[in-house]
Amino acid sequence: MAVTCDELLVGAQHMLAQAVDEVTWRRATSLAYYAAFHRCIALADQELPGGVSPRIGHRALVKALMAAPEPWLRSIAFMLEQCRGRRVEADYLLNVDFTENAAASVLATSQRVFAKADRRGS
Amino acid sequence: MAAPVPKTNELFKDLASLSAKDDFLLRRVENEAAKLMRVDASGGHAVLGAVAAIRGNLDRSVRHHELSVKLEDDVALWLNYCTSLAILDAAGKRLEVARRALAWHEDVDELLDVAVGAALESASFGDGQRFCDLWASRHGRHHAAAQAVGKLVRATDSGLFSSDGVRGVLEVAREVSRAAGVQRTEQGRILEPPDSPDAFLWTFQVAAPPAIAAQLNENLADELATRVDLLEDPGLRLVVMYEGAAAY
Repeated sequence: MAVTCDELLVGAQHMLAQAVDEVTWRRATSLAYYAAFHRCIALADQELPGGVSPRIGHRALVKALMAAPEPWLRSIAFMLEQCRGRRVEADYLLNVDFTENAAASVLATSQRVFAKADRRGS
Repeated sequence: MAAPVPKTNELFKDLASLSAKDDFLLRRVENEAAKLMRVDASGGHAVLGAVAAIRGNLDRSVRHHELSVKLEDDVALWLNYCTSLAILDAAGKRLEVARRALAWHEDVDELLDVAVGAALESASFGDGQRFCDLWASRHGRHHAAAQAVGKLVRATDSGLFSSDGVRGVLEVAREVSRAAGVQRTEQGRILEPPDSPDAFLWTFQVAAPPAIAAQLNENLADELATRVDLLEDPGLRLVVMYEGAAAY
């Protein structure tokens, strides 16, 4: 693997720390979400019976985690879906204002996805 | 010589920057409101209702505001009542009060705005649409929330999710922010992600930094993950998220 999801998360942190405009807030949001997305693919592959394909789609991943019997995996699915909604907004809805606060909130939520996945919900 | 009697507006101005932690200052405003009672009982009760709201006491706040609007049917007093209910995050009660106020003051736009917001937050989307239609008939253009309200009405009418399900999620979200002592700063923003025409993202801003908003997001996700009823309806078709602000 040429790059890890942890490195994507660190990249999002750096990007947001240096961001001065809406373009960078949107890009940092997207990167923070993708970091969480890739962390969740690894998590789902590890925790779900039969694992998941590394090429799984965004909504399919959330649905797979939502179907898990463990509440902590369903909780992570909700958090990933929260971040995904804002990522889609950042990437596609250019006519809607996107703020630094939105980017910082997605990044902080993405960090919580990582922490929760690392401690396996405990 | 008698002490000067404070004005209602001045007391409300004093209250604007206070929180439940400012006990000493809140008591001072209460004392001033007691003086105000002699010359303006409705105003005095409105101030005491607002103080009770800041302290988080719904029953006491409602009691004072009810006396206030009973003593004088003034639009400002009704708006004060609705503001207290917004502070208390009591959307259902706010909708009821806004409806009563509109029965007397149907031409007041601020009341109509309050009614639209309260209808949304209490998942009474049909009411929200009626208020938006009334606003549009008066102004010849759509209310700012009309599009979101219309989409939510269509979503509930088509069976995508139920109003009860949305109400349940919003109530869990309220409990999560209340438990953390974090206040929401606005009625929220509803978005339909372009890649998911059958899903909604409802974002609430909170008076707290992004790290606290993220904690709320996790707490909310933890609560919803154990609610079999809400996992079914609305499930992922309506997701609530908190957004913080660096200024806090």
